[in-house]
This record gives sequence, structure tokens and C-alpha cells, in this order.
Amino acid sequence: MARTTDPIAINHWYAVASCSDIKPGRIKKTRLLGQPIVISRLDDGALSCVEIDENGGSKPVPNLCEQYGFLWASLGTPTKPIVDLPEFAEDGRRVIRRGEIGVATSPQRIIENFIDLSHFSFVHTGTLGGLENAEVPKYNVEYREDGAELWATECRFFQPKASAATNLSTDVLYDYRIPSAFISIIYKDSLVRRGKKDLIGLFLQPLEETDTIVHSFALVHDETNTDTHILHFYHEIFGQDRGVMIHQTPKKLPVSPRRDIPTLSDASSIAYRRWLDKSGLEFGLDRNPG
Amino acid sequence: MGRLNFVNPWSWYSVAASSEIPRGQILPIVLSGTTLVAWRAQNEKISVWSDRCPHRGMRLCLGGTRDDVLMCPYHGWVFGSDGACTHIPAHPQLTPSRAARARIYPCTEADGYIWACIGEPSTPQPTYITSSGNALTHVRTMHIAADVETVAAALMSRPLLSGPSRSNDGWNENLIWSNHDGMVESRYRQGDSDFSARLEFPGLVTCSITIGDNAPLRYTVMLQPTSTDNAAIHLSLDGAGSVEQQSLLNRDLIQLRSDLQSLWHRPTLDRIADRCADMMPDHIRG
Repeated sequence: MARTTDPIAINHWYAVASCSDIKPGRIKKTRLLGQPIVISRLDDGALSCVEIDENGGSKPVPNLCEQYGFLWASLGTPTKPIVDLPEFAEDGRRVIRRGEIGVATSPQRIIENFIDLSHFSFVHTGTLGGLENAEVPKYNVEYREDGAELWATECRFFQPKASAATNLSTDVLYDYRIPSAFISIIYKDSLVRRGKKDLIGLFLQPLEETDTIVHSFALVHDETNTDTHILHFYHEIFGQDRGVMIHQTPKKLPVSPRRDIPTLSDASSIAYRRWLDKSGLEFGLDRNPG
Repeated sequence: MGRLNFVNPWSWYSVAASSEIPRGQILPIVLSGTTLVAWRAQNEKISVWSDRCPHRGMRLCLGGTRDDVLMCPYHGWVFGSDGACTHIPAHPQLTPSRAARARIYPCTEADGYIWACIGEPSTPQPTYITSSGNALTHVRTMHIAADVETVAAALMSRPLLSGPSRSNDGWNENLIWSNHDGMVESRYRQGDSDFSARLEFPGLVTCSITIGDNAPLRYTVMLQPTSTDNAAIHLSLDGAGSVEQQSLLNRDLIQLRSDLQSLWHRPTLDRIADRCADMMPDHIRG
């Protein structure tokens, strides 16, 4: 696919690499919104990212920034700064970068799955949910920052094993934050440090409308497990999600309320689709009215 | 000339042998480009639905069955045989909305095969397949990278099993085509051998081979258009047949597929398919 012409998608910031993955002398070829790009580390240690045109010519990506250990790029003129996550600078949590995972679907399908509670019992049986406790209690959905962010708060769910650090079956409290169409962060009660939050976030890099790289991180309170053990826990869960997401049709997320039949627990999904619809974004969305 | 379009939304097509879907089993199928799921409840009832959960578009064929219901693998929504959602695990006390229903398609079983129609059927559902009265023995299902019109014409111009000897790379262009009773027939005779085939409706070809005074050997081929350029065929023998006959039918079918997919045979096949199309009554043309 050629580079998208959707100005709203073009003007977003996207994570395109984990900085430490780009070693001196190595280059990484990838795509962003259909635009081929090449990332490399210059002799002075700085990261570079260039757009490659059809004739093989290159020019620097207009906006490039390193933040939270990720390289961020925008192909246009960003209308909003990169999401603010002060927790990266706080003490007490471990930063786990969870690598890049490709999922052959739209970024919006991935965000919608990420903010969904009601699949835990069926897709993550034994860890994030149990078949005997599938009920989803009511939660709040609200827009913050003048409608620039969507939040689902006071989400509560009974989890057999909520993280790598615990084997305790317990009710876990979640807040979901969607600061952009392509980013979501979970703020989840730590089961190790009472009163503290663990963060799990997805930064999506849309290669094409229905092909996405998921960059993700965890900021967790965990003094006992190795990185490998924690990664194993997350990768098992993400692999289960991926197995579902690649089988949803259409791959682009339908925004018309007539397309799919939601229920009460889908309040966050309904709000996300409506919020996307109002934003004017076209990329990754199925706008067929149905 | 324009070829007729076999991929009629109002026609019945066989989509699987009944034996392929025992009780409690689920099978993904494709009919005319539409992705479907067929499943059988414990009470034997067969259902053919859109392979898409109305909630979030998940493929239902990856779900599970229990008693007489199908469950979506994503959120555990439970659907009864009429397609209506009866239970949403996230809200056990809630009566699901009437809008929460899987899209169902007309389906039936006849002579050991499952039949479905992706639109409004224009004919009564098949209740039996052949006029011989014999039970059918399923030989095999095979996918062929050729359009269903060409596959039908090929089957009508070339006998499987030891029919009369063939000419012109295996195809016989000296057929006598006719049409009556709304069906297309092809026939040819050579020495004491006789071959005849009949296109009963777009998804069904019945063939008969008689050699000398022997009893005729009959086989039936059900055609399933999977896309405009691809077909699945379900081959069966009228009556029990011998293991040897089944094995020979299978061998000849593999050769037929190979020839159908080869560019070398394409000009001959196009002529045969055009000839067959000329004979097609309007109601089959659609």
C-alpha cells in the first residue's frame, strides 16, 4: 500500500522502534502508515529515521524524538505532544520493554481488544479470568482533557493470576486510558505494593491499515521475577489476544453503531468507536454505515 | 460469448458430506466467496451460519458446541440453533437483545450431504439427490482451481471410470447435447459403450456409464462454488460400489483436476464450456 493520505493519521506521533534495539552500524527497515522508513544509528550515537520514496531516494522524517526508551516519528505536523507518562521517571517500578509483535489487523481492533474486560474469562482463562467468574461489573467511561483522551475507570474484574508477581486470585481494579487512537495504557492495582499502580501500555505502529506492529511496555512493581519470567507471562497473554484478533472481520474497525451488536460491558468500546468516528479519522476504520 | 453464472445466490449447493460433521462438530466452509460455519447440535440438527459473531466479528468456527448451542470463543456468547443469542456471560442476568443473533442461511440434509443457499432459495430444498433410488456412497471431496461452470462441462464431456475410449487429450467434443425438463444432458456412444450425464441444477451433475449388457454404473458429483474461480466437488457413487470402483473414481478425478488446471487443456475446455452454456435453460442461467 502507498502512504496514507489521511491527514489525521499523518499528524500523529508513533513509536517506531525501541531505542536500544538499534545498534551502531545496523539499520532497520520498516513502514509507517504505508510509508517505507529506515532507522539507523549515526556515528555520533544519535538515531536517524528517513522516508524512502518510490525511486529509492530518502529524506529525513519531519519529526523524530526519543522518549520512554522508544523512538517516535511523525510524518506530518503533530497536533498533540507525545503522551505524557510521568511514571517512567518515578522510582519503584521496573521497566520491561516487551518487544515488537506484528498483528495482521487494524490498530483500532488491537486497542479495542486491549480495553475489553469481558474476554478475559474466555481468552485468558486461568490468568486474567476464570470461566466461573465472567461477569463484568459496571464501570465508568469519561472523556478528559477536553475530549482529547478517553478513559474507562473503576473497572473491576476477578482474576486468578493478575500478574507474573502473584498467584493470588483476587478482584483487580483497572483504569484504561486512551490518549490517542493508537495508544492505550492500563493502570492496574499492584498486588505487591498496595496502593500503587502497575502500568501496561501499547504504542501501535500501523504499517498499513490492517497490519500493525505492537510496541509495548510494562512498568511493574516486582522484585522477585526475572525479566524473562515477566515477559513470558505477558507474551502468553498477548499471544492469546493475537489468536483472536487475526480472526475478526472486517479487519478495519466498523464505527457505525449499526454494524455490531454491543452489550452493557462494551461501554468503553462504544465510546471508543464513537470517539474515533467524531475525530474524522479514516485510517484503519470501516465507515460503511451497514 | 458470455458464460452463464452458476454462482447463483438462489441455488442450493452441497457444502459437505453429512459424515464430515458429526454431532457437536463445527466446520468452516466457503460458498460463493461467503465465509460460513456449519455445525451439528447434539440433537442432530445441522445449522449453516455466517462465520461471524454479531458482537465483535469473531469467527464462530473457532468456538465450541455444548448440547444444542454454539459458543463464540471471544466472549462466550451462546447461540441457539435459530441463531439467537441466549446467554451473555458478562451479564448472566440479562436477556440478550433480539438484535443479537447470528446470520443464518437456509440449509438442509439430503442423501448424506449438507446443502446450503446463500440467498433466498428459488427451488424447494433438496430432499433426495438422484432418481435412481440408491443410497449414495461418499467417495471424496476435492478442491479444484477452476470455475464451477467449466468443472461441470468437463464432467459432462469426460467419463470417470472406464467409459468409452476418449479422444482429443481425454475430452470428447462429439457429444450430443440436449435440454429437456429444465435439465441439460450430454450423451455419446461408442461401440457397445454409452455415457450420459445430466446437469440437474447448477450444483449437481449425475453421470451414467453402460458397457454392453452390464448394469449401468452411476456416479453423482455435487459442485460447490467457493469463489468465482474455484470449486469444491463432492463425488459419490450410486449404491455401495466396490472399493476398487471407489479407488478408480478417485484416480480419475485426480487426473481430471490436473487437466482442468492445466493451461494446455484450456482452449478445449473453453469450447466445451461454451457448448454446455448454449444448452442452458434460462432458469439455470439466472
